[in-house]
Amino acid sequence: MESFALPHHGVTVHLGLFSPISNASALRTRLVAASTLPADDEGEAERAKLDFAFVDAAMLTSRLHLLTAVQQALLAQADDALKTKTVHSEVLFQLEPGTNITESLKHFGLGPTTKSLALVHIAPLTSVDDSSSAEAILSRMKDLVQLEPSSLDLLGQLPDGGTNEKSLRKYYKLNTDIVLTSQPAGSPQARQALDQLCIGAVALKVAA
Amino acid sequence: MPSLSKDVKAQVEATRLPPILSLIEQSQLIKQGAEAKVYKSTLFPSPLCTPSSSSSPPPPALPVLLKHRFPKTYRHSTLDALLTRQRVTGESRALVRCLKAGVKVPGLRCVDVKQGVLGMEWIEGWSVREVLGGGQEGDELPDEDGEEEEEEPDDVQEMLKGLGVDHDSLLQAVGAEIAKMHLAEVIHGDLTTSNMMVRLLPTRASPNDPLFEVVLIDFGLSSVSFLPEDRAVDLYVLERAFASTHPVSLLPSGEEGVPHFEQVLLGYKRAVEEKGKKGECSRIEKRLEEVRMRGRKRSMVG
Ligand SMILES: Nc1ncnc2c1ncn2[C@@H]1O[C@H](COP(=O)(O)OP(=O)(O)O)[C@@H](O)[C@H]1O
Ligand SMILES: [Mg+2]
Repeated sequence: MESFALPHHGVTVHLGLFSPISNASALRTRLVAASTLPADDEGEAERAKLDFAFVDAAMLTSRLHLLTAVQQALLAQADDALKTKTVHSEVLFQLEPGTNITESLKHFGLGPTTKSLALVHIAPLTSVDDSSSAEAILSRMKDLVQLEPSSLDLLGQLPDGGTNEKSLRKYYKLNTDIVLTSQPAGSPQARQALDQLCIGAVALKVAA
Repeated sequence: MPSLSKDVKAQVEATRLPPILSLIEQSQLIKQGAEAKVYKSTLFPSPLCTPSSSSSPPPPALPVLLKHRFPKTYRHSTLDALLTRQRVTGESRALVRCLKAGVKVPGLRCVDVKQGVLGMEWIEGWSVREVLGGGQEGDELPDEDGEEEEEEPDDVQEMLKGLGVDHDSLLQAVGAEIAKMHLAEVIHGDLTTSNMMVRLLPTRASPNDPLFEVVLIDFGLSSVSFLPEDRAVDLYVLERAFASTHPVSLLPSGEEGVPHFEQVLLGYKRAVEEKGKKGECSRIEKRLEEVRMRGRKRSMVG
């Protein structure tokens, strides 16, 4: 897990990658159920356990792709312009090029067949080097997936063709982009170009 | 009745700077222009890794360039906000349009339309102006911390020459990159040697791989058009800029060589011939000739 202290936003952003997960379907069921639980102690406790953005890591090209969505979500929050209920759901919304919230969850959120999961937790900044709260958040992440974290360096090149380039190209409308069509498919240059285009699309969403 | 602590909290919130401006306060100002202030900064620090024993080292913090179109008090505030919004979105869209077409430009990193801030990939290199030894524009600020960091133009030139980057191939690469941009139907609107940078490429796999690349920057005045007239005007602006700062290269003998802009045009034409439509190149050349004539007439009338 990697923790990024962002003093200007007053938060620390924790990113964890878990791959391959085996309980995608069960996790999803939990997420759906939690949203309808009553506001009693038990309901709040379950929601607190699930207080993360659940991102399908097959739909990420790099940590910067994900961080750019986090940043744009935080900027929207500072502007009182969140389009979704929480800053965590806003991260998914910022990854989606369109304006449909349901689609953003469908395209970029945890699905029943998700194999690699990225978890994002945005917490108030305590100190720049707060390793004890990082430990606590990592153990909460591990409780959810029953797995040790993987290196975020794997994003964009998940093993066994785990990165879904086809859907990324489709949703971000990159299929006719010369920078991609002119590179040999699967080459490092093509991967880098795809990453730049995905990051650019996320940053441009507010201006599109 | 709201509690006191809530009131205080609300006040603190209200006076807190927007995050992007608070980041700018921590950033290094590198240029103060009339329209925008330009900073070197980082959006994300190198992270803390947990467990800390993980094998790969944490990724480094990446530098970015932040361009802040600050509020102009001499303009009506509503109009100012509108103009800022347009310029920021225009520049961001142009960057993405170029990226898609494979034109070398900085990657887009952050957009805050309300505050008028745009963040882009930091290009480690030199402006073409510096490389050609045209001197400083005058409004760049000296480096805060490094006495040795700001290389003298002469050093940059010597170093690049040592690496085998000569002026002619640089100028032709400039032309080729502008051609790619025009073929992507982007008009730059402010082509000068300060608005293009030279970046050395990492170690080459084969001796035929290029040593460097030209990166186009500053799309604040760009527009979308495929008209030969607009392309020709774009080129003419650059031709004038060359005429006033660095017209010709000197041969080792001390004699004047081929005018710089001729080299740019050579690279431009070659790229348009190769990648453009049939006859596209000659249409632009013809237009450029007409634009030059108009320019001359105008300067004769005074
Ligand atoms: N992406 C970048 N990476 C590194 N330096 C840059 C970058 N963009 C601009 N610069 C430097 O900052 C200067 C000003 O930026 P520019 O976008 O041209 O703003 P202005 O509209 O004020 O001319 C440039 O001339 C260049 O030296
Ligand atoms: Mg400029």
